[in-house]
Amino acid sequence: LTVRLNLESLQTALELVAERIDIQPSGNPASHISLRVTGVETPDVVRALGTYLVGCLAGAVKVDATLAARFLGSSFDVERELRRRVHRRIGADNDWSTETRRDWRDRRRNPWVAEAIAHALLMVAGSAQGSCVAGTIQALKPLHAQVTQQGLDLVGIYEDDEAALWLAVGECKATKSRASQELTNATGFYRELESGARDGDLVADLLMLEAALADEALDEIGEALWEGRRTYLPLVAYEESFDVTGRRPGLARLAAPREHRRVLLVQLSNFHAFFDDVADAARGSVGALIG
Amino acid sequence: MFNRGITRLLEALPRFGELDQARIRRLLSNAYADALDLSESTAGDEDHATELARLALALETHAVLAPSASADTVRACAFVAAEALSLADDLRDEAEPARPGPWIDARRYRRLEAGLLYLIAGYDANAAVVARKVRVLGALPDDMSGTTRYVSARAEDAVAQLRSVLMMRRGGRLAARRPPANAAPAARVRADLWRRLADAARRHTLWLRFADSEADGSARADLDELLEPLLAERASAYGDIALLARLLAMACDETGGRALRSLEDPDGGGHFGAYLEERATERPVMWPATQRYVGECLRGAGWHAAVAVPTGAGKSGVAELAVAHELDRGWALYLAPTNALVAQIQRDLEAALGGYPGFTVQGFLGGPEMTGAAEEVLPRAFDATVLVMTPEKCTLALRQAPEAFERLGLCVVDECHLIGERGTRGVLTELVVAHVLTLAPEARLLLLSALVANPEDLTAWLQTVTGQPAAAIREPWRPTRTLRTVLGFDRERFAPIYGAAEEERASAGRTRQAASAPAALLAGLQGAWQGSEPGDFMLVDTNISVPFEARPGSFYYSSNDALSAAAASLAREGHRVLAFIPRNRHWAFSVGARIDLADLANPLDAEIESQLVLAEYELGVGSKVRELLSRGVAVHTSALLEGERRASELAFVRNTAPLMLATGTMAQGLNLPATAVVIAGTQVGHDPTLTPAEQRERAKLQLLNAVGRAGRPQHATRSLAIVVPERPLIFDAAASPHEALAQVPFLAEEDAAGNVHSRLVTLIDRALRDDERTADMTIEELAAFAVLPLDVPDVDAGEVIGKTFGAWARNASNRESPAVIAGSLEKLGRRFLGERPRWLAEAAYLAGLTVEQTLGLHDGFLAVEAEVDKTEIAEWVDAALRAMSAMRINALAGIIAPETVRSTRCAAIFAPGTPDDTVRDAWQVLREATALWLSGATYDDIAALVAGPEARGRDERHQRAALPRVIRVANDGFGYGLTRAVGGLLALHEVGITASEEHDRWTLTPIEKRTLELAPLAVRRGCGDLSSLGWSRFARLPRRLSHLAAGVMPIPANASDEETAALVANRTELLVTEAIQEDWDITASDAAALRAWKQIVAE
Repeated sequence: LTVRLNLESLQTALELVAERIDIQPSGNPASHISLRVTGVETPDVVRALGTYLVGCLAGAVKVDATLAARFLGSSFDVERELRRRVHRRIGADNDWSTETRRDWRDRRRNPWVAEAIAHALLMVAGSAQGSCVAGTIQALKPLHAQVTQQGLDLVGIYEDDEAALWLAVGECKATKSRASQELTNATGFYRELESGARDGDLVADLLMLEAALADEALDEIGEALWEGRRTYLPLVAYEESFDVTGRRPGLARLAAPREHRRVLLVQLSNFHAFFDDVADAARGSVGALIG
Repeated sequence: MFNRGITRLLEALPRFGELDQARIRRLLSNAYADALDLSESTAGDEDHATELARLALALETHAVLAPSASADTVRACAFVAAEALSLADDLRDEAEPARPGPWIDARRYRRLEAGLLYLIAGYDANAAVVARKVRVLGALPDDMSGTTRYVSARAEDAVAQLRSVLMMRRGGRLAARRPPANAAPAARVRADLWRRLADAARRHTLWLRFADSEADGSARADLDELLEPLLAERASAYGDIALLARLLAMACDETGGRALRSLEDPDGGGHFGAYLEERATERPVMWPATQRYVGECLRGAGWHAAVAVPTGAGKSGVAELAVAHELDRGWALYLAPTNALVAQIQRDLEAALGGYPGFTVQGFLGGPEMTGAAEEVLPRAFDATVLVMTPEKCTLALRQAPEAFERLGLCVVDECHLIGERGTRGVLTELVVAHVLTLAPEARLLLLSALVANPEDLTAWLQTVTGQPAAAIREPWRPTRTLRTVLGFDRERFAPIYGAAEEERASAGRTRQAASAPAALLAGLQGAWQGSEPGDFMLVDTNISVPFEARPGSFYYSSNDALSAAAASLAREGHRVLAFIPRNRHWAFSVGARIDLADLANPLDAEIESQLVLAEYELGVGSKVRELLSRGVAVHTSALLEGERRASELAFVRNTAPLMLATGTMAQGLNLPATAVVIAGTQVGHDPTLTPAEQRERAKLQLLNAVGRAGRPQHATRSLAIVVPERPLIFDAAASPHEALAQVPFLAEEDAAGNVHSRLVTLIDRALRDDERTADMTIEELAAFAVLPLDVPDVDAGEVIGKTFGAWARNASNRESPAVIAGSLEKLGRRFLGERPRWLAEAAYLAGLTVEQTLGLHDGFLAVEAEVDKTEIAEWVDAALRAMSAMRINALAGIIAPETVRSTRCAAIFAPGTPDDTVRDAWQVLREATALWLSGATYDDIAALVAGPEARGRDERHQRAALPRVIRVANDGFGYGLTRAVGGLLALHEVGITASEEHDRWTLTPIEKRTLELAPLAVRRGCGDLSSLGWSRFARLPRRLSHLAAGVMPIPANASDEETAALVANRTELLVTEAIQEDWDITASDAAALRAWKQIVAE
């Protein structure tokens, strides 16, 4: 069994994201760094994001196909499985006529698309205009591909300008009008992370990056974790403005240093339309990604 | 909290910035103190939990990921990460139900990680403790269906199998499970990965247990196969499974390297192979000390070994493996210092080895007295047998059956530091070892101790005197950690309480005012109290309410009361508490009487109840032990009957009683593991024979040994030791240790190990100088004279001396010196003999007595011989007593210690300057008491005689009570001293008949000979006639029941051993059924005792 992914389309999508998206500091809050992310709503970026998130899902399907062949000795229809997963994650259409559907959109689809945006931003860190982290990504956990998958949303290892390794952990939220509250919720996640409650997931995630990291980096990760070299990257996609420059006590209490509490703000002019457009773009790119 | 083993392990940790050993130990100890939960306060808990989590994360990640990490570094990281994880788990005390699902819930997952990390670190007992907290969900919720149910069931399979790995138990078969038809590919993959992980875990446990039909050792390779695509594809959706698989793979490597099955069977089968397979079902991996013994001796060049490991670190495991290995070649001798230990080792070895056809474990209890009882004499051929005995008992074997040692393959000397013990025991043990080396030049010696700091000296000795290589195995690894603390009061909390009490006292015009205050514990965070940083100590607030008396300007407390309060509090927190009261062996009862844990005590089970019934039958009054056990308190002192001691041990081990009060020495060596140890005071019982320096050293060793008793590897890997100082301490917030250390300096020492020196060197020096003075001979020299084969045909005393540790230490193991020493000693011995016949020296050797003692018996016996009816055991015993009464006090004291009869009506025997008639009366009391003992009278009856009629019916056990004194007379006087004297009479007759010129004088009729041969054993068993002794010997009935049986079913006096055995075998069932049911002429208490004995035999 072979699954061929159209890597060229994916690469093109990422290059476009790197080229069109801009990340710039916004204000100077005492508790964290605010980074405003712009350019995501342009039509070609929307299409690129659609392609990228289907590419991520296709990668996961490819892994399952490989594992099924290896361990179960069986195969499955890869394109069908990809379509099934795309529909499970972003829906078969943009019909929001029922409360249940709207609830699913707000609680499942949109945050996942936001997660895909953050993932793409980390993928292009260093090459984009402005960067969500001050360094170069060495390894990044693949985007969550299964609806029920546990574990941390975004985990990456990057090297800063002084060649020290850092752990980057993202937590993504999407809300039209309650951005401040969602940022507080994301802060709660980081508090939980610092208490060690998610460390089992974290070690597992780091293990899965083993193949992508050089031996020197693998030797250094333990020390980086002990020294608290962590960058927190909460991302909030929202429409209604909130005070993005004020001090946030919850963020201030986190152990990571201020410059490593980096809030990514993705303000959208038309919140629902943006996510629907990305979903449409994704559904349209399935055929192009599977060879 | 951490000993040398941990220090050594942590030296391999990677350098992470400022993270060093001291900080790690402080952090872990702090967290343990928090987790002890001794007070309501939770201040600081959260900070500790966060830092612990960071430590665990960093070090687990390094262990799992760092390619350059050495094996030692991986072990160190794994250990600290596991400790941190399990402590963090303890700090989260809220109960969290296990949640089923395709992913294992976080808490169970972290526990599995912690357990596997412990295995990777080589701490399997710790892994098992963690595993007990991992719940396996046997049934999934009814509302869980379809694919989720299928994958979740597979996840639970993995939890169950991983738990089995952690506990080293055999995993159950994996259930066949079929995926629902509509299961998505990812779900099928996830379920299959769980299955593969579970299967690998199961097959590893099977492989460890030699279950080759089901496992081929490929589990490790299968894990690699599972991991390779997951990691190559960065299949992060399965990272949770991949991490467990990686940890399991590392654990497989570690446990595989320590697996019993990795040992080659020298004969490709045989007993050793069978042993390994059977042992692997219980404990399939070796602990480090055993592993090193295997590496250095069984596989390496080492022939002998001296193993120095901490308490609870697998010393007996080394011995067991060595014994099992040896039994394919010959027999093994296992020497242990006390009869209680002999009994325990016998039980343990029987459990480990007794199940194989051809293996025999035989315990020889009793003393060194000469005896003719067949069961007390070593058989001539006993391959595949291990004989367990005390060195004292072994002296008898060496004297009576030297030829039996020719095929000895291995001699284990447990607690070998006893060689350096002052008094008779050290000398005796050293000479026994030397004699064994002489008779069995091919035998391996295995010396074991937790208290030896110079094993290299011991191996140099063995190497020199045998020419065989010897390995010194110094292995500081220990599976448990102990937080050392001192009890006192926190000034801030204590001041207002004291102030209020003082005010009340003053206003009431009293001289003292009773009050109580919460105790604080000053804890050393670095293990031994050696740290110097402010953070090396911390103050732990507790809810332990300690009574004190406010006095004008000061206050007072009783360390025993404080001990009671601390021990009871800890028991209520769920600890298994060993509380030592080293200063006085009688205080255990009085302290115990003030503690009530009845609500924690479980009902006495049938075996414990039966042991108590039998003890009370012997006593003739109720047992105070029963009273204490009913309140949840066990006791362990020398002033107990055997049944009481066993009942106490069982009650503590089975958690019928969560608290045991023990004297400083009694619980040493016994397997009575506890999670907390409390020690009252720092003084141990006074020994007038010791110099002040020796007394201090003895106290230090006892107290450190008591601290070392904390820790139960299979149940709680972290434990607590609290020392309650004699004078109360007030702690300041700065938690400075200086004032506490002034009172408890021993806490600064790592362990109780000290250098062992031979006690024979003085004697050897004297002999080399040819010093003939005898007047100033020490008790050690006299003891040496009693067991050395001087002037004995066919035995070369010089050779024995030449093989001693002392001769090696004096560089006198060469060709000439031993002969010079032996010649000099023989000359010394002959000075005692004077013109008396030389054969008396041989009789002395055979009896294990000095020449002077033997001469005294000889002369005394001949003086009364005409009045002795030699067909009666009691008459022989009385003759021995009469002969002893004519001895010099010093010679007599070597047979019966004056301490034995102190504060009794017999005490005048040893009082210098006492009028003759008073001494005569004292002897008369002792003779009558002996007669009572031999006739089956109760201890109460004997107490009424030796302590006066007012002692009758009194069950007290306090210091001035009669019963403890009578128990001492019975144990030490009858059971040890008098048996040796009666054995002396036997030796005189055995040697006299062939060697004496007046051999007719020593000739006995067959019945007289048989009576005398059995008399020493009869004294020990308290059976003054052949009928009751027959019941005691062949039915193993206790003393008074033997008399009861002899009363209702007598055995003819002329019955041979075979006939007696047959009669007893035929009648025992009648005794325990019909005698009870048909109400033979026995009392209700007789019947109850018989039922109890039947119950114990059934157990």
